[in-house]
Amino acid sequence: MSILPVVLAFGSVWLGGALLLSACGLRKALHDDIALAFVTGAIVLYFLVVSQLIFEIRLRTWPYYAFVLTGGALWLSRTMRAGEVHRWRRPRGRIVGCLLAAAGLCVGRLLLNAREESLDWDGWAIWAFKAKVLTMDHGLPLAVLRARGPYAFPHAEYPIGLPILTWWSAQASNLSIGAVASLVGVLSFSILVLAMWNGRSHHVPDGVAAAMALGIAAFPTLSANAIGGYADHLVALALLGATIELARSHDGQSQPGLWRVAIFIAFGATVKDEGLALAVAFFVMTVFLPLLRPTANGRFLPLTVVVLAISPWMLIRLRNGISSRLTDQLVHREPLIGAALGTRLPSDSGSVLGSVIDRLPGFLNGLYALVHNVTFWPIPAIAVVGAYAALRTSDRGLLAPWLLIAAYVSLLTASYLLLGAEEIHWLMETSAQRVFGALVPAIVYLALHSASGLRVGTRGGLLLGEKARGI
Amino acid sequence: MAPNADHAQEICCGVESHNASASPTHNRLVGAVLALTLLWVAANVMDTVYSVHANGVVARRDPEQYVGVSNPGAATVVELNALRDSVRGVARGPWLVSIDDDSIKTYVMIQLAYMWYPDRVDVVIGGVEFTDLRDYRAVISVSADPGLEESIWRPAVRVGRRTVFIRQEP
Repeated sequence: MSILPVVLAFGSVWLGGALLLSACGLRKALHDDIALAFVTGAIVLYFLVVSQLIFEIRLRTWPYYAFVLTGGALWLSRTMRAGEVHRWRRPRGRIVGCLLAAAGLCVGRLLLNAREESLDWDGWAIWAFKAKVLTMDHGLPLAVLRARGPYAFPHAEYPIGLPILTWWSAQASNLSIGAVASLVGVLSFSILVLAMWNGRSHHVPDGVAAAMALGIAAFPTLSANAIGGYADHLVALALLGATIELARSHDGQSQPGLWRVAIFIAFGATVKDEGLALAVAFFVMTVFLPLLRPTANGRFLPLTVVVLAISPWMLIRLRNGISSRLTDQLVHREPLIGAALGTRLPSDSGSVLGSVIDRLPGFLNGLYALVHNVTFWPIPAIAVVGAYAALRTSDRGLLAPWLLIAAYVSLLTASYLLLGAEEIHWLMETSAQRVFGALVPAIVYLALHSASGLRVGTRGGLLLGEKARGI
Repeated sequence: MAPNADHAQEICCGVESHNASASPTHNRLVGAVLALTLLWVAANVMDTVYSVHANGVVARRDPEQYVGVSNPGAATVVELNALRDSVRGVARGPWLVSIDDDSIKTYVMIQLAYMWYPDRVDVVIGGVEFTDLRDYRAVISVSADPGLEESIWRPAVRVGRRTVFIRQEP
């Protein structure tokens, strides 16, 4: 069974986003910024599909095709007017080519494995299940969405960006939904690898960017979860893309830069609750941005992209009474999943502060176990050195992406310590690696960018360029 | 201008050349981040190479293998398939499904209710003690600790470490 139809359907998501960005003048050439184009297309697809769900009409694919055709027409007219032809810049150097080829081999191996369904339990039950429902029922029946119904386990409140991508990619394929979900996971994981490579700049030269792309392609936490059907690599993509755009926009202090950041954040908010937490972190960063950068007025405007992207799903949740786990546990003091399965919080669950104190040792123990993993242990050191480099620089603007990551990590930590329904050791064992693993690409990129940017009245790319010559 | 500055820029950046006058501390910081990053890349590549060595390029899934790495003790594919076969001949719904094993219940509930027999499973919730069994044509109980059920119901099939009990209304 061929994977080509799935690849083509997935590629059409990128194409739609690329055409839209080009038509808006946010890109120079179609092949620029593959990650940004993909997430833009994914947001539009999400918006169109969830809007159909709101009106409870049978799901159709033609609205997105119409969008691609319209974008194509706009792009053609713009290109013909401008008369510009952009060429693909080939990567320089044999070693850079070898590193990229090795990254390609890692992704290719995953693709071979994904042809046969390779989902994990949660990948199946939470994400592929909803894609199956979308395919079978051409919609999301109320029974599936009911927060305390029989399908409460698949996290009814989660945004459905990944199931929609799977549903879309499955339309033209005769593969099982499970296999398509695995393939979509790998294909979107390859976008993450490309995003790291596209993050190269005068701060992060080609050789270093290629090495980091290889590191991501071979990073087992993200790759295994991607093929297993989880959405954490998509949150990683949103965070990495936002980080790169924040770092890039720093030199020009540009508002368009913040718009591009917002597109990545909006994408994260359409795929998982952690993405919604990332959106909150973005808001926090925007509030404090003037302390770091002399930003022009209107810095809150890009937030409208995030609000627009998530509003249809929030409307569905509101209409169907789908509350978040945070609300259920903090306000009603009962677990969402547990309620559906007949369990209750212990009556002596105590105060929030007491819960935090009780859960802190388990949380720290879980983090300790995490960094024991050989592919994780350099990460805290990289984060510390990178953040130290950013703090030492006289340029406060470099701290903005670190502020975004810090706010996001704080929210994650708070959710582990405050959501007292599940046993903390079990929670850390089953989720910490995925959730904190999604931070790794952004941290590695930002550490290198910050260290490279550390200089006294000079531009830092040269320094890293010299160091990287040996790569 | 640092030595070989233009050369380095040409090799690695291809953008523009800059002046650099970094202190030894700065150099050490950059070197530390680079070294740690390369270490991390190497660890990941070694992990992938080891995985390919152990499992081959295309890792075949063992049917007995545990599907969920995040759920130790979760049902295997074989167990679930046996469960599906065991309830195939049971009267048409509605059924009540009672599963007392956290590691399997949600998946079985979803599989039974939506994927396999959407027209038969009317209600799927845990705990039959609060439910009026007369509303259901059959009760399917999947238990890892079959003490109570064994005295009341006929064990239909043993699935792995679990026993499936099926009680049909006459």
